Amino acid sequence: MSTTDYTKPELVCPAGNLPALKAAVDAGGDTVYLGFRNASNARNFEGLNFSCEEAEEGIRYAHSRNAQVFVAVNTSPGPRNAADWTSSVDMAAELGADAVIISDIALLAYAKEKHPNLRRHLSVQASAGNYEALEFYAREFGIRRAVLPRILTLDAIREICSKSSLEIEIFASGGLCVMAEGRCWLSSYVTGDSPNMHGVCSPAHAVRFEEENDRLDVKLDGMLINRFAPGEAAAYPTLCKGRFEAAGKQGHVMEAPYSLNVLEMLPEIFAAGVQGLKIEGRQRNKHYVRTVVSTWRAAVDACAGDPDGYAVQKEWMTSLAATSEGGAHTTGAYEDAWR
Amino acid sequence: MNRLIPEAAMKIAIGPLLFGWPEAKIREFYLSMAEESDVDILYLGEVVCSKRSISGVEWQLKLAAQLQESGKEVVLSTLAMPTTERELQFIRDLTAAAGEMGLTIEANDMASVAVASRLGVEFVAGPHMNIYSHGTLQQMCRNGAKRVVLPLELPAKDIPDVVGQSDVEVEYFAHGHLPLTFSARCYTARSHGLSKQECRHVCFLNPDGIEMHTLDDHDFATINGTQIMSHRPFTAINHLAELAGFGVRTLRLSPQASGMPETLHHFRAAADGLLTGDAALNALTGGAPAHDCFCNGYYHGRQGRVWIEA
Repeated sequence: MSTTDYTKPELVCPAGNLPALKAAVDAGGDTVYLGFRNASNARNFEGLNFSCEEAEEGIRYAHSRNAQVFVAVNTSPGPRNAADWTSSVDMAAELGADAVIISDIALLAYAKEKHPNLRRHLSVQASAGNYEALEFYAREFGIRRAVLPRILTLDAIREICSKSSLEIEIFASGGLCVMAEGRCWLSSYVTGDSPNMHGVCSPAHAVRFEEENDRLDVKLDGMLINRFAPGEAAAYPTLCKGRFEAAGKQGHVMEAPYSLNVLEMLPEIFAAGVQGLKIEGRQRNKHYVRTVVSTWRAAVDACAGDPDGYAVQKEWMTSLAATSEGGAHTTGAYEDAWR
Repeated sequence: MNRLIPEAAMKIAIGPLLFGWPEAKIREFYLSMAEESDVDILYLGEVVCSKRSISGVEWQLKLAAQLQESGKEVVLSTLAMPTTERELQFIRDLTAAAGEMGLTIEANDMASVAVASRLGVEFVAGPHMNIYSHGTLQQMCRNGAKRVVLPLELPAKDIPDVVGQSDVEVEYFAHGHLPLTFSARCYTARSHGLSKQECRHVCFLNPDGIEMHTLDDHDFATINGTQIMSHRPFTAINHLAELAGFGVRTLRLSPQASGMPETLHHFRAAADGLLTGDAALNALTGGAPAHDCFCNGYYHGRQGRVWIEA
């Protein structure tokens, strides 16, 4: 008989379009997060995201099946067009979203004043990785939940959960951002476009593939960021996962193209009191979303049913590996050895 | 001599040392900067990695007190990504001491803003506080910011829109390797084949960081512990009159292992209008083409790594 208190976290699932949203809900996602089709969200990719009408239909679909919808308005309002961000918050409120995910303090203040009854969550883009910062956001802007940056160990997450009054959401699966999101200018340094200002990292318009002498060169705005041998699998060319040379060694100086996967840590995560498990991948299609969400649904339910007897099933790992970019997994910063 | 910049003189700040240096070298550097009449403000304190602060808060406060005697404004800089209780306590101790010593802190994380506003200590909002709009600036000032350093990637022409009618002091990151990002992982330890826990302070062996370049041998970045910086230093020395017009009152020079006194003197001369922007830039490069030495793309709203001719 276990003496540990376990919290069963919500599965917070990505949707880059309406079919992906429906797939996430149908596969057992508790919550779906999405963004509007403008620079106000950190996944401002071409052909993705929601118009007002699509968001309205998505929210109706989710609510009719007891799922929630969070709207990410999580980039930094610009110097001259802050109205694009406030209008996105207004739209989320009007459509009946269950929460807005925000990083900027002016936008948080706006949401608090204009829509006091709309739940405010702190985005990972705020890089709030300690309880002093979180309590400040709670006190000043009335946030209810925070998404933690992907730079913390599980011990640090446990401490935050125990000391913070907020609900805590962590990334569990998908693309791994190894930098403190919201404090990374690598993309604009190379391409001119950044997550904070434009909602993009290593944007597709800057990517070029060049085949030369039996090898594949990947360039970002003309700068070589990776080189592949024939037949080598190439994931989406994100800058920090490229190959460079430092101290006389060539390779993935910053991070290899691994995906995050914390399936093996689920009982510890439940015991820490984490309330949301976030699945990355708003840029992925409905098939990815269906596979990943249904796998995580099975794992979370298994862990909730019997946390002490929980064991990662081989088929869960197989289905996640089949969908992940690069095919390899890591628990990232959650384990100290990675650092 | 005819001054090219008619406004009140711009102040020059020596930013917090971002690289890992042994304490004796840090002390020597800051004491020498305190003797420079061209310096107005000194930022002292570890921003990148708490493991570098071997002797803790007392050592830093003692040096800060010595620097204060020079008559310069001294600001205690704080960590950009605190995650442990020990790091939070470090921030609390520094901020409380700053209050007692009549100093301000530089906040590089919302934890520092929280502590400073709780203790009633004024602060400088550092370059990682993401102030991209006037509304954000107002929120930061409401919580006690007396000076702000705007995000490095913000185009200079946007500064007046962000500042608006606020009377907050604006500081601009005007020279040095650009601090581009932070990670949980220590890339210096990694490039020495070590882990972050067992790093043996190898960053002390690399006072200007470690160069990272592309596989076809073009320069790219500088590894500085958990931080990645631009390989080339950024400079805005040829745009000081324009920056003054945008409302910038303080120019930040980010410390490097060599050449700081010369950089400082050229900036002072340019800020005082004794050198034209082009002449100051030429003095800084020693006659070499600027596009081979520096980057300034962010100033012009372009890729940070490029050099745009004025």
